[in-house]
Amino acid sequence: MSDDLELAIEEEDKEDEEKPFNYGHFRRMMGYVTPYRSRVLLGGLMMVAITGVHLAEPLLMRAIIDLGIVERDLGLINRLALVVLGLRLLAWAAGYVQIKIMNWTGQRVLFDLRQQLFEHIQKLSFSFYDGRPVGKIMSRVTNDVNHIGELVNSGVVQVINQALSLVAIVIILLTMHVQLAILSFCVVPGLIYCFTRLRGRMETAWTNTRKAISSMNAHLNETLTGIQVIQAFGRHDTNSARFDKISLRTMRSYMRAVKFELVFWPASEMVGALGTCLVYVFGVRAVLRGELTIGFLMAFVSYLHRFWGPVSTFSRIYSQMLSAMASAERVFEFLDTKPEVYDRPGAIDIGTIAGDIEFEDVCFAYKGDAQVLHGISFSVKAGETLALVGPTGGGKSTIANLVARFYDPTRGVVRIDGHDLRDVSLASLRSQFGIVLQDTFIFSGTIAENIRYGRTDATDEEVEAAAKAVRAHDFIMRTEHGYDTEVQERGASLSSGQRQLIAFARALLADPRILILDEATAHIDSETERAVQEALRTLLAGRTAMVIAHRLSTIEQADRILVIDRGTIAEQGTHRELLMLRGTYRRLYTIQYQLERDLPVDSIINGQRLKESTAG
Amino acid sequence: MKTSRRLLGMMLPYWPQLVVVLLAMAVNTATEMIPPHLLRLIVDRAIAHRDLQFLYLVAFLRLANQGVHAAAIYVQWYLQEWVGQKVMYDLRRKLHAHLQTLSPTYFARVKTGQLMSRLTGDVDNLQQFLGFGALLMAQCVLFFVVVVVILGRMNWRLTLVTMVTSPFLIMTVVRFRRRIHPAWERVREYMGRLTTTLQENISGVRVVKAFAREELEGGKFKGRNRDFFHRNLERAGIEAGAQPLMDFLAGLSAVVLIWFGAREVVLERMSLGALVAFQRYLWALIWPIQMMGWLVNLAGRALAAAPRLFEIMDTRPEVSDAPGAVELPPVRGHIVMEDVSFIFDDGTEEVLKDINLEILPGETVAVVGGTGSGKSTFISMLCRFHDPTSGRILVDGYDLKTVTLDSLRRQIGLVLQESFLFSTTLRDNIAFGRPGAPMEEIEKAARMAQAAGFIQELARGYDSLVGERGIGLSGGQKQRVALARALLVDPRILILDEATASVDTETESLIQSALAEVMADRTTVIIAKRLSTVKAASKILVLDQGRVAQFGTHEELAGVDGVYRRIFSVQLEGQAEIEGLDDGEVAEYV
Repeated sequence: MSDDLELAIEEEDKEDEEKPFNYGHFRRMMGYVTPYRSRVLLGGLMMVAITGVHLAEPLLMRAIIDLGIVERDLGLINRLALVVLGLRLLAWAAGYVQIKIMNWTGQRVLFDLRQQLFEHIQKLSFSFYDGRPVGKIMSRVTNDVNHIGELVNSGVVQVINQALSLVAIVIILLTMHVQLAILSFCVVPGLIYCFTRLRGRMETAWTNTRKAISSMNAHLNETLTGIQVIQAFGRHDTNSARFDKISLRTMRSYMRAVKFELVFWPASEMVGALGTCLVYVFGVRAVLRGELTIGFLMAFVSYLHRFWGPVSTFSRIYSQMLSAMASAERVFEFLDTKPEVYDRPGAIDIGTIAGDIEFEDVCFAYKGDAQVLHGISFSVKAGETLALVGPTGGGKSTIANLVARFYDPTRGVVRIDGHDLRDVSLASLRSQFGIVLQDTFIFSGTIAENIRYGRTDATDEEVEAAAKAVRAHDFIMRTEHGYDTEVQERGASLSSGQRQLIAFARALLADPRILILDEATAHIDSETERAVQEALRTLLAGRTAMVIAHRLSTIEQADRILVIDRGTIAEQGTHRELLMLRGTYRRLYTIQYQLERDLPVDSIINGQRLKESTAG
Repeated sequence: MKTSRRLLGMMLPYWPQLVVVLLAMAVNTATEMIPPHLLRLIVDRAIAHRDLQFLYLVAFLRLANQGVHAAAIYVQWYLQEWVGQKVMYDLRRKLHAHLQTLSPTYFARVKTGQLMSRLTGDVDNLQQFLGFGALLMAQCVLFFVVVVVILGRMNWRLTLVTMVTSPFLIMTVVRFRRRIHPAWERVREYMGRLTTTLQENISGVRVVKAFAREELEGGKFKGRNRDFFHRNLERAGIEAGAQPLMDFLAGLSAVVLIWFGAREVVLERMSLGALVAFQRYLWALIWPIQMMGWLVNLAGRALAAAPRLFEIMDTRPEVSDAPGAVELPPVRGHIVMEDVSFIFDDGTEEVLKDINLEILPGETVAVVGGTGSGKSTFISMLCRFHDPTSGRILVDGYDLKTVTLDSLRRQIGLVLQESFLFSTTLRDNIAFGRPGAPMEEIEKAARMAQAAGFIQELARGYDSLVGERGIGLSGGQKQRVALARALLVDPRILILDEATASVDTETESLIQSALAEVMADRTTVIIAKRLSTVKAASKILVLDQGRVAQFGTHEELAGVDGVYRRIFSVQLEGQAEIEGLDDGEVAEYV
């Protein structure tokens, strides 16, 4: 990838980070805290108590110096020291309670939000998942939610606490000595400069560093996954050179951030030191004039030190909040996405489905896209097997998706047993569907758990019976622990044919009234081909089935075939009828025939060697 | 210890910088210790002796000191981080370069995820330690020692009394660190479980919806979510138990200091200024202890991470250029295998046994065989991903062991079953083997691989990005791009692992015709799964349990009852059905 390209992508990412503070999002965020407000209040009180202890200390110190030391009153010193000790014990207890409570609420809010988000995206239609990489969805439920957590956990309560203590310090300083206080505030503008400008640039530098690191890791990941390609093409030199460049850039950007950090902290310390010096110079003169005591001066300087703390916290929390807001916005965007398919008010239970399917003038367009189905009408009788064939992108899968009501038609009606699907409840409908997809998805867990997926209460015997019926039993028994063998998401330990057989068993066990099958073409190696064919026969018997078919055996077995091309039904009929038509079906069939049963191209053309090859 | 010596060795080239760092650290420590002393001077001299000139001088010194301090901090930390980064840069570079020399066996054994976590997590741990951990440790010790000496000289009784809480603080810190780290690990582990459940759910959303399992999945997720919540509470419990206690113990030192110090001043054993200064020094007594807890942990993690990284670096590549290896001149593609056997390092079982065969230039050889027959190993031997355990492989008369890897591999075009594309533009992907190839040739390769059609239909054509951030390509499309990539280098030998990925009928036949064209004038070895591919080959190699079971043409092999017949029985039977079609009718549509 060229560097310009990489930079362009980074620019794109930056956009969503520099957004102003959004009060709407903030209020909505706070809504999640409301159920736990009494706990938050208690936690907040503890925090204030701790701050109070810290603020009281310089005053006590002043009393020890001015009244205890100067007046040589040992008893008073003892008593005051005990008071300080008592306050410290109080702060200990308060600290314990505060950490526990704030963590509890913070994590609880995250728990709620994560759960809500998860349950919500589960309801969303396929159109939500279409074209959204899994990683992006994941990152919102994990990273963005965690990010918001930082805000809820410490941000808000901290801000209030720090604001309170800032006000308290200013009041204390002013009441102690107005002129001195105002004098020390002289450095505040310098401080504000440090904490806003410098801090902002520092944060940006760190953000850039993180990005550089993640692009470095992306490159690494690619090197590792594509290692064989790199080696096969002998390109390790160029690849290394590229890595070097990215690695060097990471280092530079890290050093840049460090540089800002190293300017920021000493600069703010310098400003602080300037303020302290001013107070010393003018304060000591006042002490010498007899206007102030030494203890007073020490206490004043102590308070001044404590003044910087909240200012620093504020600037830190503010930038934290901004990025948490960006996360909140992303999370809310998901939460605000309405499912396109949902139960209408008063949706009825469809009851046990017989299996008649009817499409009446159905049109469909994916959100914002061109229409993919144009006025499709057909019907399937209960128990029939309908094969959908046609070129990729013709609309076969869309038809299947409409039957299971993963989408609603843009126009026209889809009916099952005479019910418009939009009038029935999703749960009652889908629970009677079995769907086997081309890309067989295996959940991590045991093989038995995977087969049981559609009917959790099935007994072991039933699971085994289903597996036997689809010829999966034998290979399952050959795995290490039989039905209890653990399998992984992408099912690495299983071949694709085996995965498909498990999916068949899963569908059979669920005993659906209507079966939708997106049949995989070449997944199956020659060894399992026969098993799959027999399994299919078992699976299709006794129910309405709609099969997106590739394999000849399936197509030939179907009661009826629809040829779907460019969103319309190009041809329909039985296998024989369609062959006679000499249209699209005939052409597709021939190609498939060549691939699958190997009719050599030249023998078809010549029509001569046909008999020979059959004999051979 | 070997590990730490090796780590030190990595830092050694930067010793001049490290010396400067140590000098700056000394200045840093000194300037850190001066302000409390200046405060003492203000109280004890400027105020006590009513010396305003001295006050101004002290104030000026305070600011000047701050300036020097800032400069020292800058130099120290900047160089320190620089050395750390530099060392890590060197390490990363070595690791990256080394990894690319390792054989597929290594990558089959060590999972990508595992390697990634070493290359990110472990490198990160190491960097933190080398970047600031190690020197911060030195600084903590320095601070602590210096401040104890200063305080001891000021008032040793008070110093001892103040330090009474130190052992307790140390104990608390050590105990906390020992417990909090595993607690965080658990939190991360449960986050991982939550993520896995989530990922599975999202990837499998179609199945979830198809079986109407939303509620059950929600329950499963809730369980994970709750577990994660509880692990976090455990972690918070440990923090709540330790942090306020540490604050308290630190505060206790301050209370003891004030109480005992005030008595000392009243009893005139020490000046008020000294007490005030004492108070200011206190942090330097407590901060190093709190820091050390964290730093020791950091060091522990770095020392655990380093051997894992060294292990990667110490892994010897299975195949490398022999001393005096020559460049393989452009070949015609004549391949000879003489008694080739292969055993994996760890395995006892032979993967390939006594393979003897000859492939003539321009021939296409289809390799067939069941799972575990040695097909994949056979083709990786041709690319020299492995060297034969015994016997030899000759290309145009050159023993593969005597030629350089690059010169060999650049003449071979390899298309794997799982087509891997890099996340860059299609153009760069096709030109991967020949960066900077002219556009016409890229387009030509794409046309030959039947990829030009769909690429042109994309909005950005050849400039379309592939991968996570770019467009998603179907399996068949990826495969054709991979084929174009192999063709652009115009390899003399083409090695293909025929994909069985799900592509639709038309694409499938497109790929097949593309292959037929490109295989025509070069030596091709193809792992074939389809009868049509097999039949098109000039020769068929049937492997069975690592041995050559049969080698010959389709006609020869189909006639005898052997492995070949068994493998393709279903497909061969299917041919009988052909009779159902009238020849003439079919021909019109082909």
